[in-house]
This record gives sequence, C-alpha cells and structure tokens, in this order.
Amino acid sequence: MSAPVETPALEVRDLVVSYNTGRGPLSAVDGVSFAIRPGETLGLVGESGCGKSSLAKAIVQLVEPSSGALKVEGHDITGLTARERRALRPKVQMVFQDPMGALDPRQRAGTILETPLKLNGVRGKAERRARVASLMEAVGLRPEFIDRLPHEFSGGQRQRIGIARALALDPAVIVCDEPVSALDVSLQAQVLNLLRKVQRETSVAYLFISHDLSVVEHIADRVAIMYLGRIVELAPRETLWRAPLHPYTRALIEALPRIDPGASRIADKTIVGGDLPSPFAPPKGCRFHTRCPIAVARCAIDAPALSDAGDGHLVACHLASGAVPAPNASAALQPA
Amino acid sequence: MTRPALLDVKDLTVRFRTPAGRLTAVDRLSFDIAAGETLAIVGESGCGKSVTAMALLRLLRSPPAEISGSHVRFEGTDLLALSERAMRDVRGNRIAMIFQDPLSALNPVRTVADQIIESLKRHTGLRGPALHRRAVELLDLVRIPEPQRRADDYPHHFSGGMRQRVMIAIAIAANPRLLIADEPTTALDVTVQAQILKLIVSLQKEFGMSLLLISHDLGVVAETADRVLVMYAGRKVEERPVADLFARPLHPYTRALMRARPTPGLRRELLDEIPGIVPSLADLPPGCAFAPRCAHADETCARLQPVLEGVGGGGSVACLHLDRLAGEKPRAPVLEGVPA
Ligand SMILES: Nc1ncnc2c1ncn2[C@@H]1O[C@H](COP(=O)(O)OP(=O)(O)OP(=O)(O)O)[C@@H](O)[C@H]1O
Ligand SMILES: Nc1ncnc2c1ncn2[C@@H]1O[C@H](COP(=O)(O)OP(=O)(O)OP(=O)(O)O)[C@@H](O)[C@H]1O
Ligand code: SF4
Ligand code: SF4
Ligand SMILES: [Mg+2]
Ligand SMILES: [Mg+2]
Repeated sequence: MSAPVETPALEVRDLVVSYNTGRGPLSAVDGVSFAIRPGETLGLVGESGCGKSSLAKAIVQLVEPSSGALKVEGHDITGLTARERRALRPKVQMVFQDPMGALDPRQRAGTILETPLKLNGVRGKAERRARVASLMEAVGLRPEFIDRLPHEFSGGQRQRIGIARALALDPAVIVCDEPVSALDVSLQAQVLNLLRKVQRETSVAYLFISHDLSVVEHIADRVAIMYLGRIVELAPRETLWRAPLHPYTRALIEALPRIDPGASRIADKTIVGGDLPSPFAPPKGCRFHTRCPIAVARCAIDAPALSDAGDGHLVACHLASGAVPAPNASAALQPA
Repeated sequence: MTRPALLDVKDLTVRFRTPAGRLTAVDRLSFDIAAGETLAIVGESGCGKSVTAMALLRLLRSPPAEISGSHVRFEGTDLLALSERAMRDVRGNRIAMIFQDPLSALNPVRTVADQIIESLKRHTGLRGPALHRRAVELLDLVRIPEPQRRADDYPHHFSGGMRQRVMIAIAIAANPRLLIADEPTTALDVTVQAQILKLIVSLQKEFGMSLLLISHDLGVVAETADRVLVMYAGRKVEERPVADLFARPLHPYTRALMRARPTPGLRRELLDEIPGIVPSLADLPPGCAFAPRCAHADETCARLQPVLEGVGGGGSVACLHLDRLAGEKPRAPVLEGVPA
C-alpha cells in the first residue's frame, strides 16, 4: 500500500496524554502517531488500561494532550484558538461503549438528535426535523421511535441513537470506543453492519477501538496494536492477521478463542504469561520485555522504535527482521 | 445401562414473581454431566444461564424465585429435596462455584490466605499451621508468582486475573467434584482470559472434577467443552457434543449465532444479522420463542412449541422443522437426560 495522496481525515502525531494522579504522573498515551484516510477504518486493539480511551478522548478533545499534534482534514487543531477549535469540533465525533451512560435519560430520541443541529446553527425547525428523520432512517430506527426515552430502547437501538447523533453534523471522523463490547453477538452484528453501511454512504473515517481482535479484524482496513501507551505494530488488516511481526500481536492472536474444536483446544495452546505491568512504572527498554517469550538482553535496555517492515507494515521490535527505521516526514502513515 | 451421571437435572424450572407479572427464566431444563466431563451452557444475555447455576446450588432467594422440577440429582442425592443445612454441606464442598467478578466475591478486608484458610477449615480436616501451608500451596497451584510472599496480601493488591486465580484456589480448596464457572473470564483481558481458562481446564484434569462452564462466547466454548447446551429465552434449543455442534449446528438459532459472529481470517462485507431482539420473558410468543427472528419460521412455529428431539451422537434439538434443516442426515432416537 502506498502513501495516500489525499489529505488524511485525521492525523495524530507524537501524541502524549499524561494524568497527574495521587500516585504521581502517569503517561497513558506515550508518543502515538498515525493517520486515517477518508472512508478508512483504523482498528485499535489493546488490553485494559493500555491507553485506548485516553487516546480517543484526546482526539475528541475531552482531555487535553500534554504534547503532540492533531490534524483534522489537514487543519492542525492543537495550535488553534478556542473559537477556531470549536468550529472544527463537529468534524470529530465519538460513539461510546455504554450507550445508556452516553445519552441523557430524560431526553427523547428526537431531542437527542436535534440538539447538536441546534447548537451548530441549523436554524429552521423544519430543516432540523427533516434531518432528524433522515438520521433515524439511516440507522434503521422507525420514525415512531422519535418520542421514546433511552430506557425504552434495547441496547442495540440505543447504540443506533449514539451513532445517529455522531453522524448529525457530517463528521470527517468518528472515534468508536468499544461500541459493541456491551452488546450480545446478535446485536453486535447489527451495529457492525450499520457502521459499515454508514461508512460506505458517507466516506466517514473511523478510529475503531476494541479489546476484541476478532471484531477489529472484521471491521478495520488497517489495525494498530497498542501496549502500555505505545503502538507496537500497525499493518493492513490481512497482513496483521496472516503475518504478524510483533511477539505481542502473535500472543493476542494465539489467545483468541477459535471455533475449531478439532484443532484448537485451550489445553494445547501456548498462552503468553504474566499480567500487564503497572502503567506507573512501565518496564524500561521494550515495554513488553517482561512478558516476551523471545526477549534478549538488549530488550530490557533499548526501546525499539516503530519501524517500517515494508508495505506500510510498522513494527516496534528489535527482533522483527526486515524492519528498518522509518524515514522522517513523508508518508502520513508513519511516525516522525 | 450407561455410566451414572455425577449431576442429573430433570425439568428444572425457575420462575420469578415481578411487578410486571410472573416470568419463567428457566423452563423445564434437563441435562447431565458425567464425572470429569465439561458441559458448557451458551446463550445471549438474559437467557437463563446464571439463574440455572444459582438454582442448582439453591442460591436464589425465594420469593421472588420459585424453583421446581423433577429432580436435581447430584451424586445420587436430589438437591431439591435436601434441607438447607445439608445443602450448605454440598455448597463449596462437593460443588464449588466461581463467578465473573472476583472482586465482589472476595472479602476486601481479609488477606487472600485467610480467605483460602476459611474454605479449608470449613471443608477439610486440616487444622493449625497446616492450613497456611496448604493455602500457599493452593496459590502456587493456581500459578500466583511468589505465593509465600503474596499470601498475606489483600485482594486489592491483585490484578483482575490474579483475583480470579485466588477465587479458583478457594473453589478447589475443598477438592469439589463439580466446579461451576459462570463467565469466569468475561471481565478479563484476552491473554489473561486464555491463561485462566487453561488453568481451570488443567486443574479439572488434575483433580478429576466435572466442569459446568457458562459463557456467551462460542469461541471459548469451542475450545473448552466436551458437550454444549445452547439456551434461548430460558429453554434448551440444542445440545450436542462439541465437535458435532460446530461442524454442523442444527437449530436455526445456533446457526444464526455462529454466522453473526465475526470469523477472523474469513472476511465478509456484512455479518449475517439476527433481526430483532430477544423477546421479553414475561411475554413470550406462544409457539417457538425464536419464531419472530427465525428465517425458517412459518405459521406453525408461531402456534406450536417445539419439543426436544434426539439427533445422532447423543444430541438433541428443539425445532419443528428439524427434518428440513437436518437434510438427509439420519436421526437416532434419544431419551432426554440419558447420555448415549
Ligand atoms: N482521568 C484519569 N486520571 C488518572 N488516570 C487515568 C485517567 N483516565 C485513565 N487513567 C489511567 O490511564 C491508563 C489508560 O487508561 P485508558 O482508560 O485510556 O485505558 P483503555 O485502554 O481505554 O482501557 P480499557 O480497555 O479498560 O477501557 C490507565 O492506567 C488508567 O488507569
Ligand atoms: N431476582 C430476579 N427477579 C426477576 N427476574 C430475574 C431475577 N434474576 C434474574 N432474572 C431474570 O431472569 C432472566 C435470566 O437471567 P440470567 O441472569 O440467568 O441471564 P444470563 O443468561 O446469565 O445472562 P448474562 O449473560 O447477562 O449473565 C433474565 O431475564 C433476568 O432478568
Ligand atoms: S523488542 Fe525484545 S522484548 Fe520487545 S517484543 Fe521484541 S523481542 Fe520482545
Ligand atoms: S421451530 Fe420454527 S421458528 Fe423455531 S427454530 Fe424451528 S423453524 Fe425456527
Ligand atoms: Mg477504554
Ligand atoms: Mg449471567
């Protein structure tokens, strides 16, 4: 895959998110870079606490990044005044894991969808009404649902409202933070299909976050694997699945439960040991070295840089053969 | 005759009285588990998996719960007929249970060693310094690193995965014959989830326990179970040996569930959705509960409730149109509840 010629819908460069906590500073996101093209889905996978939601919140400006740059359709939003930033805010929307918690329980579906339109200058009432109706149709909600309250919907229907609200202002990017993790398989399929159909129609870009590699493998065009605040591998979906280079990616794939009772039984699997280390004291060198089955002495000292192994396949591992340090600037897909 | 089952459940029914009316959370459920065997119950949220497990151990408060059934026979004794006191001896001793959320099941103000010791005291003859020694051994057995040092820590010093290991240590302390694991890994990370499942299965072998594994994840079930029971809206719709079920699922719901799930390596533009939502238990359709969502439903399905019929290999399926779905495959007669 070659570098995109068009302007990325979203570009994240060297992003750092730190929190000041009672136990001291914690860097939840530690220098993350990537870009997403219009109409593209970048999947982001990692285990609990690795910084996925922190990254998501920084992108939608719910938390202030400590450093780094964010560009939406080429506009750098980190260098803007508050007012300029506000103008760009509708361009980046978010869909949350818990659709109930993300919706005001006292607002009817119609009001939930109309509010962002009102706040962003869609003046005519008739125009807003028409837009709400078309949004509801786009996410497969019947028109008569317009007066229902969130608790009168099923989990899957609530997630549809969340998606419709995110779509209201024609965003360039929707950050989906575990949008199907709280849903049963049958509802998961409905929401995943809806997200795909919406993307085909609007060319919106998704950053799709999940701890479930099989869901991401289904929905994403490219996949980034995150471990303790850093991206350790980023590759086109198919490449990542068939030819993963990072030992952590391989461990995630091996751990994934597979439907093949003749060949894949838990008793016979080799599962990576250990727990995630504390984010307050991340291991020196490669952060994965405390659990890595093939670590060498160097891994505990030097942090491997995210390097290009060819064809847009980036990996941060000293032992991933073929990976060469990424050249500066150039492709938006690569870190500086 | 066939080998006697360790657990033999016949027509277990659990109803709840709620302000909205009476609902049947578990409807005439029958199954059995042989010694050393793993039976998985799989189904979507609210289908009655946890209520089944709680009813077996008689842990449901009554009211609102009403439990009935022909019998829940365990090691030859009908648990439904036992006194509460005799039931307490069975619980934790002969049958142990681990839950999804280890934190709420552990006591936050007592060390993990103390909590294991409590289980040892209640269920074994061990006394004195042997108790602490055994607690450390058990922590080692569930692969807690440096068990001697960690034994006197409190649960909040442990990660989610380590807490689940402690729960497992408590559960196996009494050397139970049956371990019930209700979504034991759902709250955990993928790698930790696989570690814990592997641990449970290896301890099961080592101790010769039977395992009743409850899960909503078909993948977990496929990698762990010997037999699988699929539930929908409180009823068993299909029960098959694991290899048969995944090679050729028969019930339309089982089939739909498998096709709705993303399959890594086999990319599809769209997943096969199951339309609609699970019906309310307080207001089930009169016929087949799956009829409103089933691609094969006809007007008979809306009227008649299917009963379980035997299929080959000791399996059973409840669908009125099994003939059509099973195709040419011959069907062997099977008596419910008797392992083939
Ligand atoms: N507001 C906050 N203040 C302090 N620490 C925080 C805050 N939000 C998150 N953290 C910490 O930052 C780290 C990353 O958290 P984050 O929520 O981004 O992870 P995540 O990958 O989304 O995890 P999960 O899969 O559990 O949702 C964690 O160690 C978390 O405890
Ligand atoms: N105490 C109660 N009172 C009334 N209804 C109850 C009670 N406990 C459970 N139920 C109902 O019984 C049904 C079965 O619940 P159960 O907890 O067994 O589902 P489950 O299959 O374990 O689902 P999950 O996958 O979400 O854990 C649900 O519809 C639930 O609402
Ligand atoms: S750099 Fe070393 S420790 Fe890190 S993943 Fe590669 S081999 Fe393992
Ligand atoms: S009985 Fe009818 S509705 Fe029910 S699963 Fe079979 S075909 Fe579908
Ligand atoms: Mg998160
Ligand atoms: Mg449950």
